[in-house]
Formats: sequence, structure tokens, C-alpha cells
Amino acid sequence: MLGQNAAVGTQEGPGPDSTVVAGPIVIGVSADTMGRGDDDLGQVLLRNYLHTLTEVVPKPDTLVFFNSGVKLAAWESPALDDIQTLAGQGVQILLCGTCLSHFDLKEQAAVGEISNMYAISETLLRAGKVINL
Amino acid sequence: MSATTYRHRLYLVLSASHAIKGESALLRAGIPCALIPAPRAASSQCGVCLQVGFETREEAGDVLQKAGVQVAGTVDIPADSGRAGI
Repeated sequence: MLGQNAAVGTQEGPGPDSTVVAGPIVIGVSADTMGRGDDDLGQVLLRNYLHTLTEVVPKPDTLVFFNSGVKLAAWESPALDDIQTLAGQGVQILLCGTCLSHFDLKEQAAVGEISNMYAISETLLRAGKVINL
Repeated sequence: MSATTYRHRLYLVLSASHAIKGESALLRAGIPCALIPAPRAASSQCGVCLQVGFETREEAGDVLQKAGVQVAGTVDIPADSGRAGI
């Protein structure tokens, strides 16, 4: 479901492609797992999700990584290749600097821009659609 | 007529836990691999698979078997196809 700030228009025809978002698509990655229940499974799901993003359309405009989600952008991350591929495809990668510092990963950030809460807030507020993982 | 050359072999596994176990076993054995979504054409489920280089496919298969990883099938990805042949 779209949030209050979502601005959408419709195209003719049924199906998932019938909705056009009138602004950037932003995905918030708030953890290094996807969903709750089993962390091992959650890590696999999130890695698969990021991998799938490299191969589907539409692409998101921005991925915002915060809290333990920033671990995915570190050198040792098994998801790093896919995040780098997304960056190469033109997807903006924002990393929460506070979170990198908290996990002592600021020197390990291997992709994207180290950002702050002002930039992250503006990115989310200007989005046509925000997807929170 | 030229023979098809392959870039990767995908090992389709029965569950995410088998994929995790297989990935660990392959990395321990020094075989580079990637845990990726199973190609749509190869699975109707929300499945995962292990991708290895085609040149390491036999060794990888042995490692997976010894590790007790249940392989549901394999898909060979031609060198001229997309990343995972999806």
C-alpha cells in the first residue's frame, strides 16, 4: 500500500504495470535480513531480493541502507556484488553514516555514499513510492 | 556449427537451508559460488540455487553430495546468456 506522500497515475490496461509512480522509487533496507522469524533464512531472502533487483524492471531510484542494513555494503558482505551492480545500473546507494559508525564499518563501506539523516529524510519525503524492507 | 559453451552451472536445491549448507561447504572447499534466486524457468517456487563456475561443476557436485545437500536439479548457463539465464 502506498503512503500519504505517494503520487501515482494510471495507464490503460490491467496488471502490475498499470500503475506508474510519479516520483522516485526508494527502497529502505533497515536490516541485514528480510522479514522476521529466522535470521538465516532472512539473510538468504534479502540477498536474493537484491540480486533479483539487478535483473528486473522497473529499477528503484535509490536504496537507503540503515541500522544493520549497512552491513550489506561492507567489503565482506555476500550481497556486495549485487549492490555494486545496482550502483552501476544507476541506482543511488545511500548509507547511514551513524549506522556505519555504530557497527564500526565506516572504513569498510565498499559502495554508495555515506549519508546523514537530513539527506535520507529528504530522499524519503521526495519519493513517489517508498518500500520498506 | 559450433558447440555451446557454458559459463555457470546452477544447482537447484530443495530449500534455503540446503542452500546455506551448500554455500558453506563449497566455500570451505575453496570453490567460488553464489547463492542466487532460482531462474523462473527452472522453478515455479520462490526457490534458491547455488551458482558455480562451469569449470568447477564436477568438483562442486561432489562437495554438495558429501555435505548432504539435496540437489533437485541442475541448469547449465550458456556463456552468451544473461547473468543467471532468467
